[in-house]
Amino acid sequence: MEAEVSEPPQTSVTLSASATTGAPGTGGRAPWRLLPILGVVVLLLVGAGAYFAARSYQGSRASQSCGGTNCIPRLEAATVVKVLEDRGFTCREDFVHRTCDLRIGFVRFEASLQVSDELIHRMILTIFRAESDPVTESGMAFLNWFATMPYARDPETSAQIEAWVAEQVNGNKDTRAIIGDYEYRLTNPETHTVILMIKAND
Amino acid sequence: MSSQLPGQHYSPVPPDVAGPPGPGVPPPGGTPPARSGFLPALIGTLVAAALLGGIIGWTVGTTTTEPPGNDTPPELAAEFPSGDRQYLPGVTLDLVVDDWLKKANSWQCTDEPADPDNYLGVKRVTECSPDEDREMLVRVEYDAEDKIKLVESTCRRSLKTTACTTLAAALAQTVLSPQGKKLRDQAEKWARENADSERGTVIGGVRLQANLQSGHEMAATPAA
Repeated sequence: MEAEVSEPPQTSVTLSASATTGAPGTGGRAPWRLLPILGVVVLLLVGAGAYFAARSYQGSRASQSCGGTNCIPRLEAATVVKVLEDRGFTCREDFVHRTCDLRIGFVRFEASLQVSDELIHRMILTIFRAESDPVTESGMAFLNWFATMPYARDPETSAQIEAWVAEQVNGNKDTRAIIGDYEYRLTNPETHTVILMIKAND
Repeated sequence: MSSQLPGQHYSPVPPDVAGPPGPGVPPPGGTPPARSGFLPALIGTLVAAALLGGIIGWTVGTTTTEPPGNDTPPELAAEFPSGDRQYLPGVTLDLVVDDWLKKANSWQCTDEPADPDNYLGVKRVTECSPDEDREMLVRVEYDAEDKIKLVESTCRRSLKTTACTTLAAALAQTVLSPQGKKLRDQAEKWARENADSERGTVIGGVRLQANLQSGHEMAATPAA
């Protein structure tokens, strides 16, 4: 038994001795050959990670890059102008602005869109009304349509925005709010004018 | 079995010696010469691959994914301002000018193109009056025979004269007459009671606004 116990160290000595002779040939090439494989594996892994990260980042945004600033995602200004024209508004084009207006009696509705790279960066909605009459149902529908446009696919946020607009209009207040990626500013510069500005933050 | 038993006793040594050289080789023997160039190469490769993969993945991810949103705007609510509501419902030039003013009251009318900058953006204006002094006047602003934007009466006689009240009431009655007797009578009653005021109301989608700025005025426009 004692002889057997002392044997293993001896074998390990012979083992390392034989290893030094055999190593340089086989062991030197294998890791080098692994390099390109490792490279490809890392490229694919990191690539896939970045791809999904980018998708989720893009999917979580409520705005979209457009010509150096941010805009309402995917909705082209021309599409909105078309909808307004079909509704009876008269629209005109002036450099980066598309301005549409409609007069019903002595009330005038005006929507001015600031365009960047075909998309909408900023909207200014104005209602000029007779005297200081309360803003009517159609006035609220006008403001709400634009106000909820950036969040058209999010009923919950849309409902909150409509509630906010109603509160500010009824309170006749000058207020400003940041809602998601957008700045909302409601002002009453004169008793007969209500202006709502909606702008995608940079 | 009998040959394995002795072999079992002796074999531990030779197999161990023969086996390890393959797998056990790199760490002890190949280390010093191989690592010197391999480690930087490995790091370089990994960093380059990660960078390239990251850039490609991010670019492809952002360009192929559309942000949430819609390429069509939300539906317009029924109340959203509409071009077909810029005209008084059912009211025609014939109804106001011919039936009411000319036939029933023998008023004289003039018709001309509107000032291009007029507030309501109409094409033409008709004004009717019973006599030369134009103390009583009805003005109609319109785009076409059946596209009337404004009917307004002005009466420059002293306050509370029956003529002025009657003119305002007749105007309200006329512009609401296409919408039935009930609304017509309601409008007539309201105008009679408010002709001497600066009050306004909405009846049947028509806004009636009394004014005292230049005599007694009663204006009928579509309600927004």
